[in-house]
Amino acid sequence: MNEKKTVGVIGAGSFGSAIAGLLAENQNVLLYERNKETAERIRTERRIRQFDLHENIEVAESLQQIAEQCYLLFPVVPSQHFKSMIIDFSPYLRPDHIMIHAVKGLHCEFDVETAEADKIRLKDIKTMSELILQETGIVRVGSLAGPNLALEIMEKQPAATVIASRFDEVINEGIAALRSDRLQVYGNRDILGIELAGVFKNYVAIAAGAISGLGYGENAKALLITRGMAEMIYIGKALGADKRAFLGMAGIGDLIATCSSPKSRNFTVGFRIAKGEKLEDILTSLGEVAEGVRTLKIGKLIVEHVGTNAPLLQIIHRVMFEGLEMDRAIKLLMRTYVTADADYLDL
Amino acid sequence: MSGRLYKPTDYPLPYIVEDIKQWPISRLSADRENFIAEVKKRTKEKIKEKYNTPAKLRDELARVLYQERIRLTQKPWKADPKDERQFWSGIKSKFIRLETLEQDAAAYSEEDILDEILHRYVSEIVGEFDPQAFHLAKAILPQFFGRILSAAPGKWLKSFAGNVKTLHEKIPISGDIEKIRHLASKGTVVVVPTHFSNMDSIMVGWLLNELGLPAFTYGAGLNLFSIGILSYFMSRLGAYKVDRRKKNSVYLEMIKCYSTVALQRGAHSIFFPGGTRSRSGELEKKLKLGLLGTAVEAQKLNFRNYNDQLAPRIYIVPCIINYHFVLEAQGLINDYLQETGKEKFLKENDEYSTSFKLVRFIYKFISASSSLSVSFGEVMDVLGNKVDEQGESYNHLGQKINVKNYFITNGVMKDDEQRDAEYTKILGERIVDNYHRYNVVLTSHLVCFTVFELLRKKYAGVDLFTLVRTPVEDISLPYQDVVDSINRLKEKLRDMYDRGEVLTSPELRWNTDKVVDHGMRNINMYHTSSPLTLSGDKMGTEDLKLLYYYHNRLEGYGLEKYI
Repeated sequence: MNEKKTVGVIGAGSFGSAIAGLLAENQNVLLYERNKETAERIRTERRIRQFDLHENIEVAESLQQIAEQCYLLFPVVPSQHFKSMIIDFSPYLRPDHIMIHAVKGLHCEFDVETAEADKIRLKDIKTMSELILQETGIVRVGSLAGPNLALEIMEKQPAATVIASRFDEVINEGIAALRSDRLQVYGNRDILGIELAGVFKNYVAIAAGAISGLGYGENAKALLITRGMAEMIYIGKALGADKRAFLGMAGIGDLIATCSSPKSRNFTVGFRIAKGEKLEDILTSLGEVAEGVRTLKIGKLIVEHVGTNAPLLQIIHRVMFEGLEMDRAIKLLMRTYVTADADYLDL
Repeated sequence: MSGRLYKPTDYPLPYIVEDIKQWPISRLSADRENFIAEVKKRTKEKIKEKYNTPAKLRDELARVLYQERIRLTQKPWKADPKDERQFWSGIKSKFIRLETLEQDAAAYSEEDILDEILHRYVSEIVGEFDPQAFHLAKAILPQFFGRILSAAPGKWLKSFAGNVKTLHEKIPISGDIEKIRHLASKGTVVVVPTHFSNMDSIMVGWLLNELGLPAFTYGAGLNLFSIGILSYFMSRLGAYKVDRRKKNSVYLEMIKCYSTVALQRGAHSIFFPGGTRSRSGELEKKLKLGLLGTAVEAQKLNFRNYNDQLAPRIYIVPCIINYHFVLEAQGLINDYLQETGKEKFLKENDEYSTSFKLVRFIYKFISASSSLSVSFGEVMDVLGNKVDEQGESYNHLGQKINVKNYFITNGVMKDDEQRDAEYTKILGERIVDNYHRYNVVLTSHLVCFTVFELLRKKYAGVDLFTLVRTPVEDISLPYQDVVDSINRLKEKLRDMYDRGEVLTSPELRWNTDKVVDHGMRNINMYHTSSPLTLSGDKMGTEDLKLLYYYHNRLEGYGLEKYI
């Protein structure tokens, strides 16, 4: 390694690896993989899937090593595992660490499978940044979100992303670490909005996959994306987020990317559902987590708890978990009462 | 709560530093010239940083001049110096010359004008500490407070006459006093009290003296300095003058720099973070962060200027003062109920502009006051983390932390105003949380809360503004309903107390009839129209606005669910 500073990436899944690759262009990277065998394989083969590991990336021995050598940390692990990871990490973390997560999911303090909407407390549903604040002594926290399909980033295609934090410093540190000729990095102070935009676009992506799976064309997809975003804004509003984040890179930007691409896992889930496959079979064969499936369950609890109208979310939920037929779902959606165009701008 | 418990007879506690001349505030006063120079220098640097070209600076100074001339014509005060107009006219003519002449031919530069304004301001703001005046005040104040808090003349106090208590039985003080005393000898303490009454600053100053702490400095409204006797003491006991009318950038920056430099020099300080007195009677929910930010700033500078181990630490101590009644309640709640737009105007009035008004105010307080309670919250660092007896910080997970790390990025200390402003917000949230958790529920507040909430329930659908204007003759509640609700609330409050969510006064353990009686007697003692009345088995009120004001003290705990 050379004399440059070192940043840490926690999680060597497809997106974690993509982030590590971007960061490696500007500095050294310590990459942490929880599974010891996988970590050892990456270390010796210096490959993740079909991609070569950038020469500036080293595989870390432990979370402690990362905490000691890096002040700038990028956790990229699935939301279900985030809490246990951050608790393991916590003893080594200090107020001079800066943490920017890139996880598009929510954490629940209750069991999502058995929870009832009227009994949950909203404060038991946490974004990843809230979880970091709760479980560590770090204060300078940020979130990274945007249209960033891992595969395209690994292929070094041009893209843009957004870093949100209440601290300008976190945004600037993130930009300095990530900015390159192939990545534009925007800043946003509304971290809640950015996190929720990243989370809720997942279920819209499932719906987009389903529409493609049914063989519908671009008109239907445009309808879905536009109204999907409106619905996201309404849900976000109920949770205290401002609409603006949803109109930027992490909202509409990410929606367009995930809703158009078979490379997105959430899209794939929807697509294969529409083709008649069973959800369990799809999830097993995917191997990796599709955050959208979990988001649907949590999202349903939220909208029922606060009493927001979110027809798309509720109908997709019925398709995924309650056996509603896809074409019947489309009919139901097309019959929903529509209000004025772009009504969400007045929120 | 840890540490030693003090008995009422222990007060006043011995001073933690015996020699008054060695108190931080005495040393600061003795080194006044250098202190002033430092404040000026720092303010100038800050202003020049913000307006970093001569053109920008000139624009800003023009704005200052404009704002000051508006103030002179629209809001003149008795406390203003006689040559005020003259001074600003002088600045104006220099400004005109600056604008009309070529740069190099001008006799003055923007910076010279800035210097002149800074000098003017700092001379007005600066306070001093005079040990002699301090001794004099010490001789007078206990008498004053003794009179207030023990049996006092007045027929309504007859019932208490047989029960003369000592000062400190009358003012129960809760909190870890020993820790506060210890940390005040190790570092610099910033006490942040709630603000309900003009009595607060005198009350807090006196209390801290009783705790044996060296004198504190604090910003007092410039208008108070037009009152002879008050001015004499305040200007000699470490108070500095704050003029709420001056809202220009240079003045505000200087007030902040003044506080920062004083803290850096170890002067224990009092900030009223609510800004002005609570208009609604509610505990402060949102704090003014300007002065609070100077604690963060001073702590950062201390870390920069000293080695890790030696850097003086700054400790924040929330203080909650509970009065059974507030003298200004009527005026405050009226302000509150008016449009906020109008209220802004009222804020700047000159309430105690004459000695007569002040004397009347104090007389009322002496003759009417009953017990009150004071509690100190958790001692915190400038990020709101808890601090132990040794002054070490622990985060919410109980992990020991080095506060310096908050100011470090990539291994080096970094200046970042936006970051520090966010830190100040975090500190503010922690203080507000403390205000709620260490608030002592008094009988009078509980009864007012219950009665008003019962009325709200009875008149469900009627909006607040209509409700408080309902003719009081129409207001009547069965006494038993009030008792039943209070019983439920008492139980709820006990649970909350066990969870550390609120404190309760000992009287709350009495049976409910006695609680209602105690609450009513205390709150009705002062106001000419009683917030609470009881005739036969009906409870009512003679003043709904006052009832609402005192009710608000328990707002924000979600207690209305149990009515």
